[in-house]
Amino acid sequence: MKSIDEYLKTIKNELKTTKMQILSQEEGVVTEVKDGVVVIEGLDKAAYGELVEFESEVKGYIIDLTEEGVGVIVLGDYLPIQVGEKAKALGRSLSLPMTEELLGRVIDPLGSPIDDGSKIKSEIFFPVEKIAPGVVAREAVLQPVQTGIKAIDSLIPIGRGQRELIIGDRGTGKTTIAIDTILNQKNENMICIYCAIGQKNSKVAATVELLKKYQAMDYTVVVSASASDSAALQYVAPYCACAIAEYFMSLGRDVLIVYDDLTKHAWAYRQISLILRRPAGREAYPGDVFYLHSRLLERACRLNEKNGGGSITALPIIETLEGDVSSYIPTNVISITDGQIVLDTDLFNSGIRPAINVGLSVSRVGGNAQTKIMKQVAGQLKLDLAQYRDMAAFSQFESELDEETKKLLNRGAKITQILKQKKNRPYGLAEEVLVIWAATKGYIDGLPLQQVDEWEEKLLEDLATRKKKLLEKVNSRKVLDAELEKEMEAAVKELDMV
Amino acid sequence: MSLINAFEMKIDLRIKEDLKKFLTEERTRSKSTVQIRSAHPLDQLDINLLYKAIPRLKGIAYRVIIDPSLIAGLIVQQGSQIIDLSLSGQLKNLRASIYEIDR
Repeated sequence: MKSIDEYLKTIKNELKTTKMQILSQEEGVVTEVKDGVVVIEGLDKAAYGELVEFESEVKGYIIDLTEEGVGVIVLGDYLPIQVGEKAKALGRSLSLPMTEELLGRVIDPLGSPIDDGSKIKSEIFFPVEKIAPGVVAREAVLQPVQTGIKAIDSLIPIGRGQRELIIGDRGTGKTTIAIDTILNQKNENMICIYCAIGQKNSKVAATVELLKKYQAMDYTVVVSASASDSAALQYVAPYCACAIAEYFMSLGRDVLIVYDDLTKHAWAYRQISLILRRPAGREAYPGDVFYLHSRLLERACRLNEKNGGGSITALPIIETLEGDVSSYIPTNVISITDGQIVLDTDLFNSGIRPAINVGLSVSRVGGNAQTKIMKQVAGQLKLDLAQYRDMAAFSQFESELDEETKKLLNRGAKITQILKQKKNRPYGLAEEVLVIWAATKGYIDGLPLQQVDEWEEKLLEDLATRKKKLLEKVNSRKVLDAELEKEMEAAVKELDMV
Repeated sequence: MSLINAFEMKIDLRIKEDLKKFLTEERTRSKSTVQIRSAHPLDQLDINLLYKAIPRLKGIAYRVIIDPSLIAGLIVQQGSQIIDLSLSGQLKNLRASIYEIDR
C-alpha cells in the first residue's frame, strides 16, 4: 500500500503539469420547444445525425438543418428543456453499446434496459444510422429461413438475407407469423431481434413472456419503443434494432429482424416532420417517407465470405385498413421488399389460419433458397392450389360436375385444410415435407374433411415416436428420391385411417 | 429570434426588407467579433496570453463580458463556436464523468 505522502506527491506532480486542452465546441441556444422536437439557433457547424447535449444533460439528435439553426429530436424527457437554454454539439453520432449479452434482454432504442437486468456495458459501439453494404460486399440469397409455417415454407419461401413484408389488417395474425418464425429458430443458428414500434406495453410484455416460455429469449433481443414513448424514440427504434442486427452480422451470424410495425414508424416520422414544418405531401407524410423505409430495409443483406458472411433477414410488418394494400405506405414498402405475405380478414374469419392469401403473396428471391426436398414437394402443391382456385367458383354445383373436376375440388379442399396451422406450433422441415407430400400424393383424398386435422396429428405423433429415423433422414438428406419416397409411403399408409 | 418571429407576422413589405437587411448585418457582425466571457476583468497581459494560446484570435475585434459565475478562467465565443477555458466548465465535465462511472 502506498503511503499518503506518495499520493500527495503524485497529486502535486499532476497539478504542476497543466493539461488544459483548448477544444472548441459548437454551441447554440434553444429557441423553440415542441412535442419532442426542439429548434436550436446557432450550431453552425453541426452535422446531420450529430448528438446534442442540453444543459439538463438530456441528449438530442439532429434531423433538420436550416439557415438559422437546427431541428433536434429529444431522446428522453423533453419537458425540462427551456427556451434560452444552451445546447452543445457533441461531435459524434448516435451509437449503441454492443455485446453478446444483449441476447435475452429487453431494451429501449437507446440501449437502456427496460427489463429488470443490469445496464448494458461495452467498449464496442455501432452507429444507429449506417449506409447499407454495397453491391461488392453482397451475395445471392441461397440459404433458407425455416419459418416452421407450412404455407410459407412451401409456397412463399424466405431466404437468409431477404426482406419479406408481412401485410394485413389488424387482428389477422401478422405478429403471430413473425413470432412463430422466431420460435422456430431454436436450433437454426439464428439470432432474432424483435423491434416493437408504437405498441402497447402490455402487448410487448405478453410477447416477451411467450418468447420466454418457449426458451426463445436465449437467442432474441427485444427493442421496444412503446406507444407512450415519444415520437423521437419510435422514429429511431428500427434503426437501433438494425444496428444491433449489424453487430451480430459482423460476428458472422445470421440474424432475423422483425419490425412490428412500420406503419406506426411512418406515423411517428410524420408527426416529427409536421412539427418541423416540412412540406406535407400525400396523406400528410413528408416527401422522404420512401427513403425512411428504403434506407432501413436496404441494410438487410447477405454478405459474402470475404466480408464476414453474415446475413440480416428482415420481416417488416405493415398494417392495412380494410385490406387496402394499394394505399401510400403499403405500396411503398411492397416495392422496397423482396416479396410480401398478404393476410386476409375473410380467410381469417372463415377459419383458415394463418390467413395467408396465397394468390397475392409472393417471394421474389426465396425460391432459390428453398430446400431441394421442399421444392420437389411444393411443385405439385402449387399446381393443385392454382387449379383449385380456378375451379372453386364451381364448387356450388357439385352434382353437375364431371369426375375430374370433382377430384380437383376435393384435392384443393384437403390441401387448404392441410395448410392450416395452430399458432405457436412451428413444424420442423421433415414434418412439413411429410404432411404436404402425403396430401399432394392423394393419400388423404378419401378422408372426410373433418378428419384431416386428426389424421395430421396422428401422423406427427407417429413420426415423433416410432419413425424418428425417417424424420432425421428427411432432415439430413434434403433430396427426395425413390427410396425415401417408399419409406414415406410406408409411414403414411401405416396410419390406416384412410 | 424575436426578429425572425416578426417575419411571420403581417408586416409592411418595405419594413420587412429593412428588417431582413438589419438581421443579416447583425448576424455577420456577431460572427466576426469575438465575445470573451471572463470571471475577472482582463488586462493587456491576459489578452496577450490568450493570443499566445489561440493565435487565430489575433486581429479580430473582441468584447469582454464579466461573468463571476465562471469562478475562474474564461470562455471565448465566435459565432456558434465556443472554447471553454473556465473552471465552472471543468467542474461540470468532472461531475458528468463521475456520474458516468457511477452508473
